[in-house]
Amino acid sequence: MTKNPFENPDKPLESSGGHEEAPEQEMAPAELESAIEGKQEEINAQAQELSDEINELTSSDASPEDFSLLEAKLEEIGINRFDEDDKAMIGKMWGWILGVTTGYGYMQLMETLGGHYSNPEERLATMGTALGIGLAAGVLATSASKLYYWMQKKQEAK
Amino acid sequence: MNQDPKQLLARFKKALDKTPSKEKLEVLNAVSNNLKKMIQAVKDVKQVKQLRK
Repeated sequence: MTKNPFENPDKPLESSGGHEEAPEQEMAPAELESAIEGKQEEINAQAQELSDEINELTSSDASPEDFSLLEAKLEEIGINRFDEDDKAMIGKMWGWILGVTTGYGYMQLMETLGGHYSNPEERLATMGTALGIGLAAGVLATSASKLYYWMQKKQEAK
Repeated sequence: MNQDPKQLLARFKKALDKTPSKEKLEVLNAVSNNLKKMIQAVKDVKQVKQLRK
């Protein structure tokens, strides 16, 4: 798992790499505060630039090769996109998305197959079943994705 | 343990507030340098994509 540098917010941060621009000599407190403020503004501008660049890359016809290349490049410079917590969260999200879409799909299917709801109770009951199936599919998909990452981790450990 | 990105950012800001100024500048420099590298990585991919066309 990638070490989270700010796991404990009560502990001051330590920088890890990227010291090219760190000042070599002692700075006066006012000068230091001004440098911090300037750097924060620079970071805001960089974050905006990164967001624009990513939007531009993904808004057009980005292919799976583009994403693989980007992922490889980020790993090359030591920035892994996702740590294990992120992966579990993504797995959970996919689980819910799959669950909800499965539930909705089931509801649509019932409607198409001739189960036209004659009264609100019937509709409510069908929706309840659909939601139940969706929930079960979500739990199943979450477990499956967790199992997948666990297996991947085991594979990497070999 | 799953963490909300906003929660993570709030923790980062809290930790950053407790960091002495000199170290704070070093951390911000590291963040800025990583952002620079990330921007360059995206630009590289865009260039490869253009060449592929």
